[in-house]
Amino acid sequence: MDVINQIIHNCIEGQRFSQSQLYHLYAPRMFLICQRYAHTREDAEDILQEGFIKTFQNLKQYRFDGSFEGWVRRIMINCALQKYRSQTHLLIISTGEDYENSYFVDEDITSHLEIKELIGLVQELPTAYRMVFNLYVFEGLKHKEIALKLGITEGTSKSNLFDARQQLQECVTRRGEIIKVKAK
Amino acid sequence: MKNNLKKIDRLFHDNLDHLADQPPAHIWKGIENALDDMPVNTGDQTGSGKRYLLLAALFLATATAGILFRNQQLVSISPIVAVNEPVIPIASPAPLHPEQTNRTVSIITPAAQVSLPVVDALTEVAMADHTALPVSEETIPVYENRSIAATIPFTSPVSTVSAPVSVLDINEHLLPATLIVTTSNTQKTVQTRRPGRFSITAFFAPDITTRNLAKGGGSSQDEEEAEIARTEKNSAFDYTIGARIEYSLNKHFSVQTGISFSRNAIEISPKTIFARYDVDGTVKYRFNLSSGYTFFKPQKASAVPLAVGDSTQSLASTSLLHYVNIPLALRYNYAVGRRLNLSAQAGITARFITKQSIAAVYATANGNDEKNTSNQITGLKTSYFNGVVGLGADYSLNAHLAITVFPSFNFATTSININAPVKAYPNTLSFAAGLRIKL
Repeated sequence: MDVINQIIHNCIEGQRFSQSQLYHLYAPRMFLICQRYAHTREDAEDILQEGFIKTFQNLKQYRFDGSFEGWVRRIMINCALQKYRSQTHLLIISTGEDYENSYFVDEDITSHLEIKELIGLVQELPTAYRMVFNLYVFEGLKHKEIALKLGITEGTSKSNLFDARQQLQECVTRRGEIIKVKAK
Repeated sequence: MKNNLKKIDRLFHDNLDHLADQPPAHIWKGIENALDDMPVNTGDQTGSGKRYLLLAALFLATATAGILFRNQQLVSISPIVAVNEPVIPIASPAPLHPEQTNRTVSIITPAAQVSLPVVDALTEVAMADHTALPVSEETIPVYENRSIAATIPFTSPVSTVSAPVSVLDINEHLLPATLIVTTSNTQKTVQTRRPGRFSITAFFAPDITTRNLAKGGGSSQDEEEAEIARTEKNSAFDYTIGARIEYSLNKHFSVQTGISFSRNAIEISPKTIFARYDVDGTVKYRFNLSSGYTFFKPQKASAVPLAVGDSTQSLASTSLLHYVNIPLALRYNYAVGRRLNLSAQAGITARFITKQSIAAVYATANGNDEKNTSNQITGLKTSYFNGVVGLGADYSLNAHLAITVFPSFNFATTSININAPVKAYPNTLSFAAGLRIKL
């Protein structure tokens, strides 16, 4: 039995030390995921806390046959979706195509963008756009899967992704121009 | 940010997907609070009934001691160095994933300087106390999908601790490694208070009181219970105020005791009262009520002496009873979410009379109204027992404070009087609300 599995077993038995171990092992990574889905850092903190409570509550259901981190990650994402579920339907439906290959970003600009700025850009997206963008880009879900998960149509998922990309591109470009001006 | 990214998706994916960020410490505290309310596999449950009975019997004795000694613990903070997943580099002579990326390292330890000579040390990470000092984070090169899972307890103030750790690869296979933690101040103790098993609730409860009357030990000259019930009306301003102490036996059950003060006033409609012999042989007006009876001797002398059988009209009269209550109840708790806790309780209350009085205004033979007060109600017991059942809801404001409401129904299991015209069994519907402090 490896270290993680032993810690999980201890957590199931309610050993607080092991619960602390498990939390501190996975919290930093999960916190960043939560930040991507949340509108603010405070919301991300709420999601992280709720997610870990659910993790500990449902630890008995973990079957030890897959990546534990992936299991925890799914819980966090579900918590995030649940938090914003009511807002994912507030959509602006556009007829945009899936411009998957048409967004080019200036390499010089991206090299100047900080991680926190990138997170901030994602957080500034409208909730519906942010959810679709995260599920598509980071979780690798198809539009059909996203539609099922969010209770929206496939077309809405596509248009939200399109709009999210467009907004992000504009923000990245604008930010890059500011950096260039400051550099001069 | 050094990747040659061309697409917006990849820009975000490659730069954000594998990063970590240290969450604030209060999140773990919140989780701990929630975990405190979660069921734990305690294994053997046999004998728990006996344990409850024993604890209930001992509770009254321990409650007083319990509130005097708060549940303070000296806790050495950060007795472990928690190394956060995907952030610790490992060195590998031949990395499985040649594509390197930057990761953020954060290690929680009091003023610790952590070096990582893991096999072939790659780098050294300086990390300040996460809570007391500004958090410094450095990025160090690590290899894709590598992580470390290790915790190192260190409780003595030594400067350097080394320990074998296990490094996990993507398939969660363990690789041996060594972690060295150098600390400049390893031992830091703080006083922390975590909610213990005791809690105390200060509450106020408006009461609605009714009385069941049964035939008592009165003579044929006394009023029937129906007549007494007709003339009596409970005050709209009855209340109970007090403090309730609770000892949590486990997640669901707790034992309660405490002390409270109750006021019960009865307004008595005008009625005819008759002169009878008092126990001292003098003739006085006898005033019967559901609690018992008393004698009023006219204060002003009359030309005609009072004779047995004389009557007069009592006007507005009021009876006032004050009780001190000591309850003992078992409460069942059921947590709904993180903050709300519903409960049901059942138990008994011993009630001790602290004040008894009747204030009456009656007409005298002179034709004047006279006000008289008696602080002795004959037949009234000094104590009696109530049964109590109730429901409750607590809403936690934080780890130590909760707003609580607990409506309850109190019913007398014994009459409040003896050798009185009627036997009275008060029933009280109590709507308590208060503040609960977890000690």
